[in-house]
Amino acid sequence: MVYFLIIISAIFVNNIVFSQFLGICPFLGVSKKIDTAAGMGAAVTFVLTLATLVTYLLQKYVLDAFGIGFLQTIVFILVIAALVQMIEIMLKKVSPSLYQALGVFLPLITTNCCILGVAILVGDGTWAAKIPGAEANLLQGMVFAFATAIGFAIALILFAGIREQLAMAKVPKAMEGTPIALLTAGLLAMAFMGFSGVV
Amino acid sequence: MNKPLEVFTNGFIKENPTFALVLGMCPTLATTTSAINGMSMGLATLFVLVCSNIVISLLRNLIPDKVHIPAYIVIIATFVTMVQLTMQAYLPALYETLGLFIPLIVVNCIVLGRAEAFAAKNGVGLSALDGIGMGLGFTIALTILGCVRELLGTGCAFGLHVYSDAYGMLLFVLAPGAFIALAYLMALVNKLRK
Amino acid sequence: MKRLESNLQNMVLSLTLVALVTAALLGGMYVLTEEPIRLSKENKQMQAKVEVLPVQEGVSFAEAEDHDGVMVYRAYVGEEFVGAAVETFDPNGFNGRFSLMIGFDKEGQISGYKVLEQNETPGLGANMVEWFRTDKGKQNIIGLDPAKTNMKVSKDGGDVDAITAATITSRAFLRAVERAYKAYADQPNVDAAGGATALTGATTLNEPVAAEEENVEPENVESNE
Repeated sequence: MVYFLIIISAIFVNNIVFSQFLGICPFLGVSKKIDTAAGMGAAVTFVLTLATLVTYLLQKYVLDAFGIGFLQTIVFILVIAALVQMIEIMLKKVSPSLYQALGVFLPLITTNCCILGVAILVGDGTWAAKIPGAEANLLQGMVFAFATAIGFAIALILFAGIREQLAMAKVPKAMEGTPIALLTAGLLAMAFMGFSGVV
Repeated sequence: MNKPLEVFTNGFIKENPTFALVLGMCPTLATTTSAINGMSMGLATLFVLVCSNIVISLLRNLIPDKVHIPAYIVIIATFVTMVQLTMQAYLPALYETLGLFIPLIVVNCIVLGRAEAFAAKNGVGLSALDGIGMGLGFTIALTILGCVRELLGTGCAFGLHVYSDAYGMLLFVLAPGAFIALAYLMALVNKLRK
Repeated sequence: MKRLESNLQNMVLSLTLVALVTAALLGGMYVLTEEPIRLSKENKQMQAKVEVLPVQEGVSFAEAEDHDGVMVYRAYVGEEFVGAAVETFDPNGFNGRFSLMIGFDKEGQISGYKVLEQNETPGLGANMVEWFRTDKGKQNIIGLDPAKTNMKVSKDGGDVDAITAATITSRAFLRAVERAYKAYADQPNVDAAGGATALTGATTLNEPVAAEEENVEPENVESNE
């Protein structure tokens, strides 16, 4: 039951883009067409789930065990950068077609704040306070990370759909480009606020 | 206009990271719930920008090209951790308000971006100036956005009561308001530049 | 000086150098700030505990008692029992778990509270930080005795005004208060039923009070639940 709550909370109630403000740069940058949005969403889901696994284990068995918690930022970001490199290499070898689809997004993901942000949230266990009954253990943490990435993908695809239509509309000169995109995101955020309190 | 002055003013007018380059959006939207929060976030980022620009510029010829990304990341992360530890020790209330976004300075596109675009190719003096300029531009943008959101949302700015908060539009302190306020600010800046 | 070539030796050397320097810097920084960080954390907790009590000067605390996650810190000025600071919580705030520190005096009346951690909506649920201690209508809970007052929102037939448009948060807040009171009243030497409790006779922490007092009618010292 708690897994269901975690998923609903991570995708809708506390959507990573619309209420946590993580992942905005790719959200604004890669959302002009639906298929690039879907590609980015898939890449983020893949990397985030793996990264959370590795960083959680590192946090538990190295950082906390040796009392060097203050090295969290450095260790996590290096792990994420290395992981992304490895995934890129592996993907090229194992599944060239998947690499074609996702590969170009992978380097962008390293500096994606949502990866590091969610890694820290799960490593510290602070994500569980918002979901009644959730415990900050590995399995639930990973479900949270996976669901969060799905939420990111959904936000991205929704936004891309709107922007494709927006490209054909007449927009005042000063609002063209980023401002109108931000305004749209704001309206979407308002819509997502309707989910608050559900979990 | 001489080069140092040009480099310095570039950061907050021509290539303002928030309004012109559209970089570092995550902390911009998340930490501007009040003017003070926005300003503090900007200043923390300024510190990291300047320090990492200086160090990377000093070491730019000692770091081989193939490993420059991880090396830069480690250097930047070091300064971010220093900011984290200092804030935790001496400014605990602010540390808690800014929360997750302090360690996220390390993935702020501005910092890595300037390191690659400028510090890796220029001397220490100019790199420092670039860091200060960009950092100031970012801080000013965040402070203005924070001010606008706080004023519209609660009737206060920097803790000073300007008008009663019974007339405040709560939306601006919440998530959607961040997007909307920034959208209009950017449109305004765009209009002024034409 | 031209940039160093990207051969294996140079790469390893430069990365090692960077790693060593940053490790040294950070290690040094950590050692420098370890004390201030620990102190500021302790201060914060201590401050929260003292702030909510009926008296603030010369207070010392007994060891924390864990009542199912609610921590009771009994407070003494010298030998005299003055009340307690209770760290309570509710898992079902509008946006999840929140925690607060409540102070009770020795008669069981609420002497103060401080919200410790909360994720509620700013302008709505987050107003709990000040709402329940503002003197307006029936929202102020300071001075109330949970044994005598119905600590529920007016909508549920209680005596406390909920935060406007934030009923769920208000209910959760009052639940946390009740939780705290139950834990506090479970203690042996507190007269939770109200009335005069001359506790000056009790000089040791665990002495049961009921048999000691001559100038107080034999009151039932069990909490009334």
